[in-house]
Amino acid sequence: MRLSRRDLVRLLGCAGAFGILSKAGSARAAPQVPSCVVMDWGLAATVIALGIVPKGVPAPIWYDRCVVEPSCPPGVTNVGLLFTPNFELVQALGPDLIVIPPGLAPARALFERIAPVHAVSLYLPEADPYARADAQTRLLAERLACGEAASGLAAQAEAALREARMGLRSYDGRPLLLMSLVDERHMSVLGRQSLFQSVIDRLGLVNAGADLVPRGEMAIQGLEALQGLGDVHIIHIDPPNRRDIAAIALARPFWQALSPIRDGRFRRIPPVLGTAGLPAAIRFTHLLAQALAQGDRVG
Amino acid sequence: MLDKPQARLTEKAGPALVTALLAFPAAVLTARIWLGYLPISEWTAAAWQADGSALNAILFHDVILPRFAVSLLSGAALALAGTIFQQVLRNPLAEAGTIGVSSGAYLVLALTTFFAPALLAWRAGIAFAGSAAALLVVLGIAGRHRFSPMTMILAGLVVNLIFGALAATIAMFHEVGPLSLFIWASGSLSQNDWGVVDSLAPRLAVLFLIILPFLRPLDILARDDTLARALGLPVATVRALALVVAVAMAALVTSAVGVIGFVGLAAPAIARLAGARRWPARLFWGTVLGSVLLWLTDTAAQALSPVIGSIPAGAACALLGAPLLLLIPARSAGGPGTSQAGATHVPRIRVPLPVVVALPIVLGVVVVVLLVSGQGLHGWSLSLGPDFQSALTWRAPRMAGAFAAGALMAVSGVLIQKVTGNPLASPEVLGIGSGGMLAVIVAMLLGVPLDRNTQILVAGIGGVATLAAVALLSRRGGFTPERVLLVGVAVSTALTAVMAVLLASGDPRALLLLRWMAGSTYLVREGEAAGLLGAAVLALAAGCLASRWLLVLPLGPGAARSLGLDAGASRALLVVTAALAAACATMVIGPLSFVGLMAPHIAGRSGFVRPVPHVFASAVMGGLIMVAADWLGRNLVFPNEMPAGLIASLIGGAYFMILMVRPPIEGQ
Repeated sequence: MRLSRRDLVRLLGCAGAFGILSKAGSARAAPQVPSCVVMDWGLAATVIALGIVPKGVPAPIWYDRCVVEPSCPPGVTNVGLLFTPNFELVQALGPDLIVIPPGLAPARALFERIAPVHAVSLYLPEADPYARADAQTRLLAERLACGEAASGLAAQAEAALREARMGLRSYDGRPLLLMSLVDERHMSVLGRQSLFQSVIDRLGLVNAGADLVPRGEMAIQGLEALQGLGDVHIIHIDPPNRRDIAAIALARPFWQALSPIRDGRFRRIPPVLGTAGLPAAIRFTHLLAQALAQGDRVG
Repeated sequence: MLDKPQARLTEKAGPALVTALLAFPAAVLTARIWLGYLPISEWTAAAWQADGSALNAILFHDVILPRFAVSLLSGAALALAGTIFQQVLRNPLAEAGTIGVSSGAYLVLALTTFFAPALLAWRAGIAFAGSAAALLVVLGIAGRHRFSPMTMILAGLVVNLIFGALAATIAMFHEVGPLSLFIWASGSLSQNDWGVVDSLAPRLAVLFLIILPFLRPLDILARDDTLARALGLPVATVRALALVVAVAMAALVTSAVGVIGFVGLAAPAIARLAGARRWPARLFWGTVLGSVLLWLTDTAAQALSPVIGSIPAGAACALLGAPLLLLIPARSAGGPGTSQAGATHVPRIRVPLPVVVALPIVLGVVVVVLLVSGQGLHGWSLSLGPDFQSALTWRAPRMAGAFAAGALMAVSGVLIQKVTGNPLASPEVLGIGSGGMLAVIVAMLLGVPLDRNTQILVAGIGGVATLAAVALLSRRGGFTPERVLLVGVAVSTALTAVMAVLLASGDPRALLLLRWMAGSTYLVREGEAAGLLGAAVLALAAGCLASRWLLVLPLGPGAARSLGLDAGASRALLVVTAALAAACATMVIGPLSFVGLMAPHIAGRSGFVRPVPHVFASAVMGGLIMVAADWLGRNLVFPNEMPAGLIASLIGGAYFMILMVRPPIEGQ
């Protein structure tokens, strides 16, 4: 059996995520790990976190801007735009498996000509996206022949949550308004059915903006929506395409007059992609715990 | 008549009554919103100075009141600009939206957002430049047709479609969706301080002061150029100045607030319908009504937002205003560019036999070259030998699908042009594709599960419904080009507004729809390609069977009757056929490809004027255009796929514009 460099990387990552580097494990995993093309950033983040380097991902530049962590390994081929896949290119890459999101269901039959297809809904607007992400990740990992890595990733997420809960023991329990500014007059508020909600649920925190989102992951609201919000802590997730928007908006008198900002209860955290499953949950948990652990100053 | 006291009284009482009727619900809703923040007793205090600590007082002072002021101010400015446009251009349908001013600003802002976001600080100036450029294009085209109202609206429609396609392309390559641009395009009135009011109010005031001395001359000018000249008016100068001021007003509002459709059209129209006949009355009441209309729309949308989700005021206005477009009588008959031309002067050509034999061979070779050439993992290559099978698998279905869709669109175009007797009618301009797409979006929002076949069915229903609307409106005067085009404008406006709301809501399905509207040949499989080819054959057969109708109908209803043809029934059949053909094609190449216009026209110009050759030549031409567009889409920005429909609409739109700029040679 010949072990290529790429197989080795995959294997190391797989095992590394589980935390063991046993001889038996590597010998078993090596021939079974299929090469894959992943047609969605959230899925790509999960696959990479499982220790597998996909052969192709759509628009890797945007992946790095939106997902940030885990970063896209070098050598991953750009297979076109999201939702407008370049089938010929995917075929030229010769994957053993193609992982697609629900949005690409109309293209499934075409992908099946190239290789077996595994469709994953990593995120759906429902009560507990974290639990869904966990379950779907395990299924995906089984398909990729690295089931242990999924347990490892889940354990990593649990550990992050545990650590964050410890760090938050001194937090005053104020509800959180989770939002991103779209421009100076509009914000997208994260709601009950978001992955973020299921993370803060697990941290014992309250989402102050839940009622502002009728359905789905988030809702665009004017600043009027801040009405009656009361004593909250604002967590601003920088949007990937305008990371400086919060700094620009916050300079305006309106924001300066708001009590959470005046009193230093406004935190910025870098972009997190809410549809990216466990890796996003881990990333958000770390960033949130860090942000809330800071002293009372505008971040 | 109008000078009688009674008439004067109606002229004041009518519009005043309508204004009051609209203002009352707006005031009630506003009071309800305000009370949600502060009790009445604190309103005045909070209006002057926000209490530094209370959130609701800050919101009242910095968000709620500015929004109220912005709605009144923008409504008035857009309505005033619309009234001036209509007066100067002698066109009751002219306003910022219909003559391309808004889409010019949209395109330029989209370009800026994507390529130079740092420049967004000068948003107002940039938007103004875009608006002015779009207006110049529209005026350039309309000028060739002596500013006939219909040519102008048509030119505005085409500019809107092309600029919209360009902006969609840009948005498509911005993977996460430029949400702030989408929100701007949907015309949200949300505010965060008095900044917009502070910058907008003085600038609008200055513009108003500039135009004030020219308002009276505009009255004379609209009646008669000769009279105006005799009175010593510099006609051209006054016109140009009034236009510049009106564009500046519309562009100021558009850049500061966003795209707000149809206030500039609806307010003057309502003023006129309410009894304001003379120019000063129309000017005054139009402006006042514009204010009240936007105010009412915005407060109503706010009041409804807990139920149906937030709908930005601009898009809400466009949705309400689109049907209104059909009720406004277009004052003058179409200009030379739009009216029916009867037989063309293009001579029928006799094609020599060698050409007849050679042409299909040449075309076949071209198609094969397009099939095997392209970019891959290792750059450009010709897929010959072992790779040929792969090229065949991946490219043949999409090329066949593109060809069939182009042919269907072209046949649909020929049928519609013959039925309406209007050489500039096409499934795209008539809004058949847009109507189909609108039906699909509505079905999707209602939760109807949509596979490809249901999509085609639903789109077909939408297309037929659009054509039924055309037919209904045309019952009085036959298929006059004016009526027919207005339905197209109304439907495509509604589609744009619905898309604007969806995109601005951040709904992930909207980005999918955006891509899909641009055409999706890359998803075509063998079965679908075969189905489309079958449909194209059927459409061609229908064209052949109806060749006598196609020959007779353009001669007019009288001629048709005298030749023993039931004009009504034959028209209806042809129209349904055309709608179904266009609906099938729309699913693959999107609603805005312009192939249905371009292909029949090129075929006609090449000498294929008798019905059967015309139908066939158009189909081949339409198919080839789409195949070429598909190839470009596959290779232009490899590995990214550019939708073929989008490329075709850029090519077709440019062709359309050139067509309109050229002096009219047909008929007259």
